[in-house]
Amino acid sequence: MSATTLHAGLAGLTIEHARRFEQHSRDGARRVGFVTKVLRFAFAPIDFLCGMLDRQTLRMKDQAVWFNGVRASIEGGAELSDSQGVTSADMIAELEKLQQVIRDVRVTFLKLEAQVKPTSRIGQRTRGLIAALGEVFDAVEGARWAALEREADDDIAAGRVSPTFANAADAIAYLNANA
Amino acid sequence: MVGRITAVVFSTRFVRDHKKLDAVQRAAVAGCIEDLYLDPIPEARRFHLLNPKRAGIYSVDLFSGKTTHKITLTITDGIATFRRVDTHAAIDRSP
Repeated sequence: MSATTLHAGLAGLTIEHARRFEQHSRDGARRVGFVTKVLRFAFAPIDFLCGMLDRQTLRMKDQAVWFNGVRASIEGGAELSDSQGVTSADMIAELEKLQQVIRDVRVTFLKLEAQVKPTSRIGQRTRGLIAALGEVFDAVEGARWAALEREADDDIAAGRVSPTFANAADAIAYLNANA
Repeated sequence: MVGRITAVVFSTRFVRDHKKLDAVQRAAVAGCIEDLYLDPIPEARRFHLLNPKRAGIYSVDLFSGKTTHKITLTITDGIATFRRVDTHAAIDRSP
C-alpha cells in the first residue's frame, strides 16, 4: 500500500480528530473549573484535582505527538483532500478554530494558577499543563503551516504563478493591482 | 547564504493571502520585497529554514523583530518565488 493510499483523506481525519479534541479540551477545563470551586469548601478533592490535571497534561502531550504526526505526514506527501470534498482549506480553518480553543483553555488554567500557591502540588501541575498546552498549540501550528505550504506546492507545480518581476516597484504594483 | 535576488514571482496563493492583509501588513510586504532586491539584503531580514527536511524553503518575518506574520519563499538562480504570507501563531510557553 502506498503512502498516499494509506493517508487518503488526511484533511477529513484531522478535522474529525480536531473537533473531538476541542470538545474534550473544553470538557476537561470545565471539570477542573468545577473541582476548583469545590476546593474552596473542602480539602478532600486535592488528590482528585491533581489526577485530573495529570490526565489533561498527558492528553495534551499525546495530542502534540498526534499533530506533529499530521505535519510529518503532510510533508511526507500524504493526500489531503478526499472523495467527500474535504479540502486542505477546510482543514486549515478547523486547525485555526482549534488553536482558539487551546488559547481559551489555557486562559482557564492561567486563572487557576493565579489562585494557588506556586509551590503547591496543584500549582506545579497547572504549570506543567500550561506548558503542555503550548506544545500542542505549536504542533497544531506546524500542521497548519504544512498544509499552507502544500497548497503553495500545488500552485507552483501547476504553474499558477505570476509573471516574473525584475524590480521591486513592478512586483509591488502587481500585488496592489490584485488586492 | 541566499545570494543576490534579481527577480521575484508570486504563487497565486501568495497573491490571495496578500488580499487578506490590512494596509499596515501590505506595506510591510512591500518593504520586505524592496529589501530582498538590495545587495546585500539588510541583516534585519533574517532567513530561517522553514523545515530542515525541506531544503530551499525559507521563512522571513514580515515585521523585523516580530514573529506575528511570516512570508515563505524559495530562491533558485536569483529568482525568489513567494509562496505564502500568513500569521505565525504562538503562545507564551513560560507564563
